Amino acid sequence: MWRLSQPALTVGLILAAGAAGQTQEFADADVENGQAIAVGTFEPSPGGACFRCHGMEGAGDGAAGFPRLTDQAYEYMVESLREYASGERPNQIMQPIAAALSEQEMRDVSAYYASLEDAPYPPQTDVEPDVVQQGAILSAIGAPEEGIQACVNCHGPEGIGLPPTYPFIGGQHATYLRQQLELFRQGERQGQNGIMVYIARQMTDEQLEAAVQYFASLRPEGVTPEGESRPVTGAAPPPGIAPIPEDIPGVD
Amino acid sequence: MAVRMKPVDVALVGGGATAAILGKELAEAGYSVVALERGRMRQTVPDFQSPYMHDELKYSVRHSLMQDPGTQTLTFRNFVGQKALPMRQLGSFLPGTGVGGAMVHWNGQTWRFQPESFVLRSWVNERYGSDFLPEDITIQDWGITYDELEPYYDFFEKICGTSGTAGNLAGQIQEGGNPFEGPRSEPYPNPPMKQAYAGHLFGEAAADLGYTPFPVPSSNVTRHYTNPYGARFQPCMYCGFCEHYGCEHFAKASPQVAILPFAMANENFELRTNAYVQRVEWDRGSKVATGVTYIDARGREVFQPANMVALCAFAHHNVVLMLNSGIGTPYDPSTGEGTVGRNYTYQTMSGATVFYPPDVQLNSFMGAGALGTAIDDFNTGSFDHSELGFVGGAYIAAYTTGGRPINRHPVPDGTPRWGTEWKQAVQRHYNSTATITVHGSSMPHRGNYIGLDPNYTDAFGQPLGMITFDFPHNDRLMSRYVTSKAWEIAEAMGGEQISVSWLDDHYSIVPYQTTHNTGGAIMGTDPTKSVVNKFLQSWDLHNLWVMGSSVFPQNAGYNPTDTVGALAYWAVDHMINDYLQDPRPLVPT
Repeated sequence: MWRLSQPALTVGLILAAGAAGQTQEFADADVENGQAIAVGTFEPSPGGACFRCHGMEGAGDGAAGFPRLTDQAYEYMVESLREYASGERPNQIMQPIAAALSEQEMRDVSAYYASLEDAPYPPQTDVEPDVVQQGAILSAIGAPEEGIQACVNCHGPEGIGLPPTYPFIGGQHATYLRQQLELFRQGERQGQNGIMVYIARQMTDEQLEAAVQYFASLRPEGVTPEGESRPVTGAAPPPGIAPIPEDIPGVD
Repeated sequence: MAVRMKPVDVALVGGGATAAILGKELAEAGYSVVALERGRMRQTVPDFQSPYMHDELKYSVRHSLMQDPGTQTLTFRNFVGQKALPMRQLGSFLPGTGVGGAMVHWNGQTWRFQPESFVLRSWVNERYGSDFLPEDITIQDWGITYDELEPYYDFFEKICGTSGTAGNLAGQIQEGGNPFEGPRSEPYPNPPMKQAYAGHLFGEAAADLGYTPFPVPSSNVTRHYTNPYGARFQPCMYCGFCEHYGCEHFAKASPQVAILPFAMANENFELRTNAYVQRVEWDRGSKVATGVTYIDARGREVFQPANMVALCAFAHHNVVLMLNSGIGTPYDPSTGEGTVGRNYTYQTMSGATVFYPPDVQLNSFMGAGALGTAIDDFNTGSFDHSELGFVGGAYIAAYTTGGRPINRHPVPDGTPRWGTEWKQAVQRHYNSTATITVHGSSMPHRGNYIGLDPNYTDAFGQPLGMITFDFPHNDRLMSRYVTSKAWEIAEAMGGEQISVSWLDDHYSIVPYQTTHNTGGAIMGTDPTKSVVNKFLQSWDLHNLWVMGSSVFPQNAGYNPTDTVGALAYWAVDHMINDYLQDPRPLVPT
């Protein structure tokens, strides 16, 4: 289902991006040049190519906390590069890399990663279902009595983001999500209007971890994570309920 | 036989903004209060949550937060002698229903009225002469002055976390604000919104023409803010879903965010939902209200005894309740006598649209209800009317309230109404079009009033309210004058093409204009020409009070909410510190 709708979604995002005033800018971006920057054949890539950390498909690296870039909105990535370059988003690795890129190169490489279809996901980690459930509740309704509004209000259902401003966080690596929330908490990263600083500070450690684990656990429907296999047969039905017959009349 | 409830000190009719204010303050002062809301309970969580809240079909088209005209509606006619017909779908205005009322789906535009507005009759007489206006323009003084109301404006804006740039601080004109506003005792509690590109283009053009642009005062709050009650707001995300919607971000001032939690926390306060008030009961001998009768969720008739009653329903609804309760003298347009229903006014809306070339990308979806840049050079007290033959005026603003696709598809004049060419035009202009609003005052006319319909009844069998309204000649002149000024600004904004939306020949109940219905139970100094005194206390029954824009003797060229909130605080202050300690008419007759 997701696989089928994914191209449609991508088209939707591009249309939305078009509406966001990005048609011209996005269309002017040179995706091939962006790819060259990503692979490091482009001269001014200091310290190397994007793909070494983010992968050619934008899968990132969960172990090292390098974020997935696939599914991410173009404008969000350009803005992030600008903020890394200026130091507004402090990051020892990204700061010199971004600072070495021109505005056009930032656009090109962002356009390249924005053009990619979803990259492979890491296997699900073994997290207590209660924790994921708590994160899902935070995503859906927040914790209003503690002043924490629902993640879904800006990041959309299942963390699909709201281009151009709000990033795609569904399926993002837990390491990266945790690190960003900590940066918000410490005020090192401000985001829009300081909203995430406030939310991250209102969250308990437990809530923060639950939100991280929930978003990290999200997978587009139909994705079989590496190293896992889907159960072939369903669980036994509860007592008193007849099992579903193999052949249902009228169904091929 | 009606069910009889335990008596309370105060019964509030309605569960919206003014009921929340009165409920909070009266309960805190130690009085038992019940608020009777016809709709259901609604809270930010779960009722206003994204993504379900951002459903344009459900909320903007099908009006899910609004009054159901199948239960109760109004009839309408343009003038006496016409047959009034029931409004079977909402159109021109959208009264809310449910807890929070219309302050759930408002835009957050938080304007004060100018000092001149409150003393309009005296001001016009003094400045332009008492024969300046025809007799049928029945403007009146409010009985209150701007200076008396100022502390209450200030407090209500602090409750709402209003964001803006002060233009007049204690008489000193401030750079970047509205120089035509009355003096403020303090700056806005929060800084103004980030201005949109359309507003920026409007502001530049207006400044070039010699006007003074400023950011529209907004209760879409711009930063983390805690109001005097302790309500915590979060900053507006400019998602573009304010009008017709509830806010999921705790950013737009609604009773649910700003006031109600602090009323609900008090055991003296009860919010009773699904309680559809039918009438105020009153004693004909002693001339006091004894309580209210409502229909509960089970369809039972219930009597709620109360020592004091405040009408906190929507503007025309307060008036209809009084008429259906037989309180006061109904206004008669043939004689000009009677008070209840008198001086029904509205808002005189027009505008202009500027179509830019495709490379001008305005990103109108990045919006907020009160995100706008305005000029106030043409409001009532801002300019000289002596050669113009009318009173009143309007602010002119470029708002970016959102780019919701069902309602926003601006196309230039001459575009086909449907089909391929229309779609191409929408695609071409969607993101390159700026809209200018002319938000005009509404002067009362002898023929415009609220009465009871002789033919139609609501679902409970009571007569429907009947609105008789058309734009007075005075307001047509005003609108033509200020709209032509807006046109000049539109020309200066440098687009490719412009369309101007002049005021319609006659007021129509069908297209949406504003939900700024005002008057009908007006405040004033003369009991033969007003329904309530300067404290919003009924001239007829001293323990009956009327809140909301029903009490405006005429409507100014601004959105009414700030004045509604300020007047509620003004009234409740006098209830608590004067009236309830010694119940009597506060203004002797």
